[in-house]
Amino acid sequence: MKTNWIMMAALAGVGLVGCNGSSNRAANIPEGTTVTVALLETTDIHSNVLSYNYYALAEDTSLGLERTSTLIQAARAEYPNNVLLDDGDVIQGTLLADLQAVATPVPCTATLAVHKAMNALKYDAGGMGNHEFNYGLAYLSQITNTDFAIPGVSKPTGTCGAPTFPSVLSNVVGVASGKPIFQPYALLPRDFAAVAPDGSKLNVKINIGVMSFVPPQILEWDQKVLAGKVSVTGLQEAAKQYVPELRTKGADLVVALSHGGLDTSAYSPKMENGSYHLTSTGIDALMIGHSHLIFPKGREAGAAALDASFTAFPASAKIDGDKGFVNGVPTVMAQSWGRRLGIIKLTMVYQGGKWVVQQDKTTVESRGFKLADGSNVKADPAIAPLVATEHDATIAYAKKPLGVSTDFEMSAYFALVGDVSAIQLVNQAQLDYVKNFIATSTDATLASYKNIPVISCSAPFKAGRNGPSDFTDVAAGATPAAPVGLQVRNPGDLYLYSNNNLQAVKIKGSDLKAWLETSAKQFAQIDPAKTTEQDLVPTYGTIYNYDVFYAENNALTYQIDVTKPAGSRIVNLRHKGAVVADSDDFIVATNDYRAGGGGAVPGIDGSKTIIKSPDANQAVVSNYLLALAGKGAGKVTLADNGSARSWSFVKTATAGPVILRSAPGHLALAKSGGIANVVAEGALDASGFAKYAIDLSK
Amino acid sequence: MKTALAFPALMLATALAACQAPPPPTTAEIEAAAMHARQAGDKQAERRVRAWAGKGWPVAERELALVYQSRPERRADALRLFEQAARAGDTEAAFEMGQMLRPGAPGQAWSWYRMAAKRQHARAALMLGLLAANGEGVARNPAEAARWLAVASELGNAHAMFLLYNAYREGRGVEQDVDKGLALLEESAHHDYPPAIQELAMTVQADDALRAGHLLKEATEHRHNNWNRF
Repeated sequence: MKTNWIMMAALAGVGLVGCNGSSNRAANIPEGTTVTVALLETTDIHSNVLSYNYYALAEDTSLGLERTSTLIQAARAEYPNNVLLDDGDVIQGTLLADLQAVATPVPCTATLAVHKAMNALKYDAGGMGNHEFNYGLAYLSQITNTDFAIPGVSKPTGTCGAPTFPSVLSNVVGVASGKPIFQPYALLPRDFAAVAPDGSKLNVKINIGVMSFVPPQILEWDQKVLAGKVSVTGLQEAAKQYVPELRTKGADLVVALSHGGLDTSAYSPKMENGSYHLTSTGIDALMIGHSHLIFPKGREAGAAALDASFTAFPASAKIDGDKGFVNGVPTVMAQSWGRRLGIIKLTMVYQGGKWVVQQDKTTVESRGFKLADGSNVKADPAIAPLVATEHDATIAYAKKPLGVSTDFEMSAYFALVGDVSAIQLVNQAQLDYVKNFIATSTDATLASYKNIPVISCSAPFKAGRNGPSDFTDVAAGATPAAPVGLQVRNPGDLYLYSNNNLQAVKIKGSDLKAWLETSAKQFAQIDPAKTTEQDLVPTYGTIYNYDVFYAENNALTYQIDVTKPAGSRIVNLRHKGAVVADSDDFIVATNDYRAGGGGAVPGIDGSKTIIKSPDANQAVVSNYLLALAGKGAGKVTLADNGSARSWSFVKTATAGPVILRSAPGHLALAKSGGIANVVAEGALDASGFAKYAIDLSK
Repeated sequence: MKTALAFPALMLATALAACQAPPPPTTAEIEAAAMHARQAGDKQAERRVRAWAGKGWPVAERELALVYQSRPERRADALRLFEQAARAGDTEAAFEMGQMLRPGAPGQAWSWYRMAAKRQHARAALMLGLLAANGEGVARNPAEAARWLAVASELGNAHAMFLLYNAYREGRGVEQDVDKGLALLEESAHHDYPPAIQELAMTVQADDALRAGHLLKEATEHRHNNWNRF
């Protein structure tokens, strides 16, 4: 019996070698011929085609595919036998990406801007990342021109603009079809120049197999669009299926593009960063991404030290962060946003009818932008013209009208003395979102909260942190007589942090008091008897922690007594006229920063979060304004959206001057806005802030 | 004589048993089957996991309980399975017991979290830190909270690292230590905890605006998959 099995295995082996030889081998490759191949990697490009930061609307020469292109051309000149591969997270990440996916969706006839650039760069294959699923399956299907065979997900008929290189994904399967939604691997036959033992040159065919893996967590992160439609296979399970299949088909090299980092703990198919466990599946090279890190350590002068997460592994894991090997497999991670090019150089020798990798000749590099003189590489001038239209459209989009006008100026100049003109709208939008979220929730626990009052808080995010010009000021000069139209970018001015997701917490009255006390720490303790000048707000450094609370119809009100020490300043906290009791329940609409412990508000540490929304606070504000536009009125007013001052100071007469530092030239705005405690504008300080006199008795 | 006969019989029986009973599945095999049951609603995969759980394999009990967890009518079964698995040494099951019990009975949740945390479960240690900090189910105890947060941080939990940063900055339950706090903030941001990325950006902005900008840019990209991750 035993002998038979061995014989069969031997026969099968012979059969396989026969297949390899017959399909691809040139008749006479001399034994000992060598070929050097460079595998080039980009990862986590996140739609950064140009060296431009769309959030800041400013150039950023430290990133962008137009500069990676220069690295790619240099690497190709250095290593003529090469393939260029991408490890995913391509289509999402910048305003350009949102524009093309959501605001003005790219039609089937057009190719996504980032794909245009990648096509011009002649990529050989591309893997997927988790962010590829952010805009849903129909969109992904269109922009890759791939029919997923998923019921309810239809690709436009005809050939859509797409990458001209194969899109690969090895571990995501359609639930209905039971089949991979993308081709699970690509086999790339390439004619490469080789050197015979006698030094003569010859061309040989090398077959490069490429697989791609995403973390199983895509089903949680994008459950809305993926649940029930696709399932994810564990990394090892998928690799164990496809590596032998690729070998059978004649792959001389097998490369895994794995969109996940290294986790050396025991293998589980549920792992987010399971790339480490691919090293034992028979692959020749590992190209990783997802965590935006550099591996191996940069070779340029002044390169950052290897990231601590790579150095923390036990020696038994065999992770060599200097040379770029993981458990004996050459491994590279090229950071993100096109800032690096990963290069794995492999030398193979033809031995006994097959190509064998010479491990000792393998080199790995994660090459960055920095030139010897410290400057960044120049942009490849061929890239920008390819996406000029999309780039201009993105900038124009930011300045587009929203369809809503305002009859008041929304500014943060006097937010620290009671003005809510730049805060109330944010609170109204958040409150509206959370009330609706609870009212429409199918979750039994959330639904049971229907009768708990919902309130909201937000802060003057842009209020002097970065100097006297760093203040929110939207629709300057707007009045009822001369309303000003809001632009698409304005919600971003009102809600500065585009990274925040909306969250809600369920708290007690006692928590609310502690929260307000934490906010009130922004104020100095004012000594009424002091005759010298006192700064009301000593620093704007953490002004984003000055939460201003709001309830519908301004039903939540409180006073701050700045003559008291921090921690005992909040007085007369009332909701609907009644004093708030410690045991009262509230639901507070806020952001993930605060709900998760940002600002160190006692008890607000992630333990009381009841809603984790996938929606950005900024988008919530934007959608609230758009809904107003749709309601016909199409405007926001001081009366409804900018004058519900929920808080004030406890009135105190002071012997000496109390000042607030703010941008100069806005006394008239304070007056017209009815901010009565701002009484005069004084001299500029050394930083250019004007010292406004504040009368705390008003 | 008897022995001589019995020996081959035993061999035969063993060989037959080996034919009938396939080798027990590996942990990864059980988890892969349960993943498929959950993701694709595959009834056959679910039956397989149920059969394995029926044999008393803790990993299968835990995985079956995870399948049941999304079905309110199966709550009692999920609790029973988690408890069996946890008592048989499954760490994740002990943590899940804590999660299921916490809303109604945080005091009971505490002991399950503790069991999991003692077996190196990072999130369980975080939960102990949160319960102790807030007096939820146990007496409020900032020092004990900080101790559990330190355990969770050591085990790599980014949320705990951030809360411990707050604790060191404010001297809550620990002696104030700004530098220790900052190191934790860096590490937490590194592990992608959204509040930490933002806080770190705010902290370095004055000295390194490019880094701050890149941190916020990264946080903005990652909010799409960080919204329910921590």
